[in-house]
Amino acid sequence: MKFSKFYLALFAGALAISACKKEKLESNSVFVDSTIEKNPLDNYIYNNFILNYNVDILYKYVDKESDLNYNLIPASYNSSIRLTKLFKYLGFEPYDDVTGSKAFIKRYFPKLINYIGEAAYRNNGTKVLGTAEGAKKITLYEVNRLTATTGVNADFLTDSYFHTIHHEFQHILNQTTEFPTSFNAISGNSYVDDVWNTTYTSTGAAVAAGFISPYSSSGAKEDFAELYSFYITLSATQFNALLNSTGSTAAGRTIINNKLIVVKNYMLSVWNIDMDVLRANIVNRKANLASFDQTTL
Amino acid sequence: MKRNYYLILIASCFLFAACDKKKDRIFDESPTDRLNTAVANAQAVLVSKPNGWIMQYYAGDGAQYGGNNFFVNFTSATAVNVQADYTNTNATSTYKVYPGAGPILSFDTYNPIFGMFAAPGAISGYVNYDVGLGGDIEFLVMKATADSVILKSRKRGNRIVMVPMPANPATVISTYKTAFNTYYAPNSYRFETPTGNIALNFYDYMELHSLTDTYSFRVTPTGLDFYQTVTVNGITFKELTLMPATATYPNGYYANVAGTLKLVPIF
Repeated sequence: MKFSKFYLALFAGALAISACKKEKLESNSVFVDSTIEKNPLDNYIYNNFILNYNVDILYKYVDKESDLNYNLIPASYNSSIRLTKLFKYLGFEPYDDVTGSKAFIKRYFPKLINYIGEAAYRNNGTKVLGTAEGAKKITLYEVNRLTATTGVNADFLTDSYFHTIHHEFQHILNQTTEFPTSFNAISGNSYVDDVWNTTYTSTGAAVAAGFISPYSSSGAKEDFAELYSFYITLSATQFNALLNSTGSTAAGRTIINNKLIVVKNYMLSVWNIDMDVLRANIVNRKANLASFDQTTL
Repeated sequence: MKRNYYLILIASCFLFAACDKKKDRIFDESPTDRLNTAVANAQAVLVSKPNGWIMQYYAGDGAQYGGNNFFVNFTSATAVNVQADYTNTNATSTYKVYPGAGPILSFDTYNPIFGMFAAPGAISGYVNYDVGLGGDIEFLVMKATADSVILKSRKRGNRIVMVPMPANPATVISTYKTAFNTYYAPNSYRFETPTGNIALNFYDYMELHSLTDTYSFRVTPTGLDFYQTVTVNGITFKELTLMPATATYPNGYYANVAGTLKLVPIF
């Protein structure tokens, strides 16, 4: 008994001695961030995106933020300026206007936007135009296609960039607050997953089946985001034209309109955003593209 | 018996305390410090040449598509002007040197001269749809000194050498362009050796293919400089010299030093 207590004390003492090791830490980190000269676009991004929205834009190629499975080329400086200015004008400010402050985008929008010069091409002939990763990052491709001519082409901007941006943003809103399960029931088991591009080869065929686009048919979440993005980025005339594409049917249109009611209700009740007001704002901005300065920082 | 357990326990504690795991460093500075120094050194060397550098650029796996001379001038801490022998384009874009496995030189905004090689084939029109010529825009700096910078392209691992641009860059660039155009003008080539001739064709880009082999080189004002030493019909060489026209060879030809091998243009 006595012995064991003595040894126990000795053991504890030995532990104490071996445990304490005072190594002096250097106050300076050895990881020194390299300082890279700021150019006017860097300053613009800092003042307008980081300070206002807590969103950073990587317009210079950063390999670890890019998809290493593809051969990618960087975005050009001039196209990056245009897209950055347009991003604010057509991507963020409509939400600011509708919600009344920058807080909405600041809280929910992905924190990192990555620009890539051309699309990521697969060897099967398809290409990637935009990706979103876990509510953190949106990657936009084909940035170098943005020029003085395409920059004022509202349809080009919508198709190439802003449809993707609003689509991906909707996913993030859904991840924050799920949309009603009643939406899933509307098209039920007619979603086709990965074979969407071979199942529906035209918008008309997709509309006839109750999907706003072929991609919508891949799943309920994609369907929801596609409906939202098409609705707010297209004018009423353009949206109706889409619904009446060659091959579409009235039955299909009814299904889409039923879904649209759920999407609109969700945006209004959960996020307090009236999609018609948001659409009017975006359509108005698109109409004024010609007078929007895309190049001055 | 019980006591022995405690003894073993205590002995083991001393073992813990006894081991000092610090090893003598081989280098005095920490790895990070040395990497930071290497990055700063690479950056300083790059901007130190007011006339810039001649970059011997090879694209693709195993440098299989031949090489071009890029005339690269790092004009500030972020701006770089690039010209090349294959084009009249003159484009300024940005670069950075950042730490990775060593200093990494990255041409991080679009430059059309790198773009032609780095773009997927769907854009550049070369080779296949997805990869294209497989040119890199990021390079590991293996060595950076005042007389040369040795780079290794990050995705393909090609060795790319930069040497300082001599005086009168405009004249030098123009002679390189003339040399490239001279080489690229014929429809095809053939090797002529004492033991026989070998027909050669352009294939994916500017490299020459025989039925069995690929010959990858860049064009210099004096002739051709091969990526690696090659052997043709038992004749080994790395460089060929451009020879003036003769009666037998009205368009001139490229020859090795011994004159035993000729690379003859066919129009």
